[in-house]
Amino acid sequence: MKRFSLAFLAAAALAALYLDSVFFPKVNLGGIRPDALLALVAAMSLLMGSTKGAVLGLALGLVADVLYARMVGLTAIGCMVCGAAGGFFYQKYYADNLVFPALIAAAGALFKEHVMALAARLSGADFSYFHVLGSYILPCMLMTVALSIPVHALMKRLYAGQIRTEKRAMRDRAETGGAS
Amino acid sequence: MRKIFKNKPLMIMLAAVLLLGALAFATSADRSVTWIESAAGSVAQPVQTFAAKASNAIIAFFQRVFKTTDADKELEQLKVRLARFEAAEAENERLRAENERLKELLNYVETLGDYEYVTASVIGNNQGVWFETFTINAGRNKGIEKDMCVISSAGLVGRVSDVGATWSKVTSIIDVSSEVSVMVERTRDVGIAHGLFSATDARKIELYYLPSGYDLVPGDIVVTSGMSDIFPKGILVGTVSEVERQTADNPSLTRNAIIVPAVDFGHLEEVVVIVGSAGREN
Repeated sequence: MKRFSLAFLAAAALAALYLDSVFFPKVNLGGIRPDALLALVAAMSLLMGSTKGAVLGLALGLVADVLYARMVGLTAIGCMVCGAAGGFFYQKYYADNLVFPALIAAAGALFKEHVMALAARLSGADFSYFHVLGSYILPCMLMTVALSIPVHALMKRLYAGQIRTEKRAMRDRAETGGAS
Repeated sequence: MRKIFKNKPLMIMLAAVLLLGALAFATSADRSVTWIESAAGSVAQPVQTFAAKASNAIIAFFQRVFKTTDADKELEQLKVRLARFEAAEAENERLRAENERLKELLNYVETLGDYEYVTASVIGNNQGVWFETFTINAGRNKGIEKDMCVISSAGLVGRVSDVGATWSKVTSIIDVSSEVSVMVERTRDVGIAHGLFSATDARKIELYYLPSGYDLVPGDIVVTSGMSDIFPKGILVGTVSEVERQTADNPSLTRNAIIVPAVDFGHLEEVVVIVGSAGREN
């Protein structure tokens, strides 16, 4: 990965961490907090593939856990699985299609919130599953989906050069393979 | 089935999920922060402090833009021309407000008794609503230790749950894992306050284990009882909003009341950590 791409990614990760830990908790959105980190991981996994997506999700999740969370590893599980799952659609869809990033962000948010809900329940939280699903998990998922679309559009633009290079390399490999 | 076991990436992923689950389980218990966590937190702490301070100005700006009438918008447009003055004014206002808050905080601490304390700023919150923890910009460098009491000018905030070199994590009293020994100020009845999970912003605390036949009415003030080593006696916890009693219809009810915390956890900016008292060494 080019150096400038890494710098963009680091800047985007810092911005996502800031939004999740400082901005969204302070701006009262009816108690709902979208997940910028997950939106970023969903977008990047579509652009980078499963392995890189999972590693990115794991790294960002662990950083968020170490800096802010009581239990280290829960955010990392959600982001890593989202990154790995998103990577399955790597180079299998048209880059302008916004349905895939939205779907991956939705599935990732659902998975992550369920992991957190399970951990909270095991820690002693008493809540009705369907009430929490309707009042927090689904609205949170929708907001994360809404956030994932501009994030994907932005990251795709920043990584356009790299995506072209990778596609060209794949085409070359396919042609070479076909000739031999 | 054999195909699934031969799928290397899937197996690596499952192993990673299991390891992270084990890590989360291990870190949920009482423990000391590892050097890796401490170092990572210390590296990030100045950036977090800056971001937390800057966000107040950003949020205030958006609130001004979205919560105005037409006349205000016109005024806003005029104000844009005086951007430099406005920026200076905003900065002065922020400093003045911070000064006021800190004064209020210190006055409150002085009323509690002869305690040594450290002031700190809140620099980040846990993601989501599942756990109510936050990070402050003071750690071992300021003499903070695990399980020290954290308060604000409004009342009890929580206790220090993890300590790094320059940062600490605080578990607030509204977290589901939090339990505080409290006392009803009017009747002197002692009970346990337990964080109540809420999927919305309605942050509340449950009150348990009051003596049978308790005398409690909405509006009663609840303070710390001083029965634990962590929280000094007499710190305001909150106000009783609902009283619940065991009836023939509901014989299994164990909760005595719902308390609205005195602290506004949605707008917490500065806190005080009580690091010791004249009569106690820490």
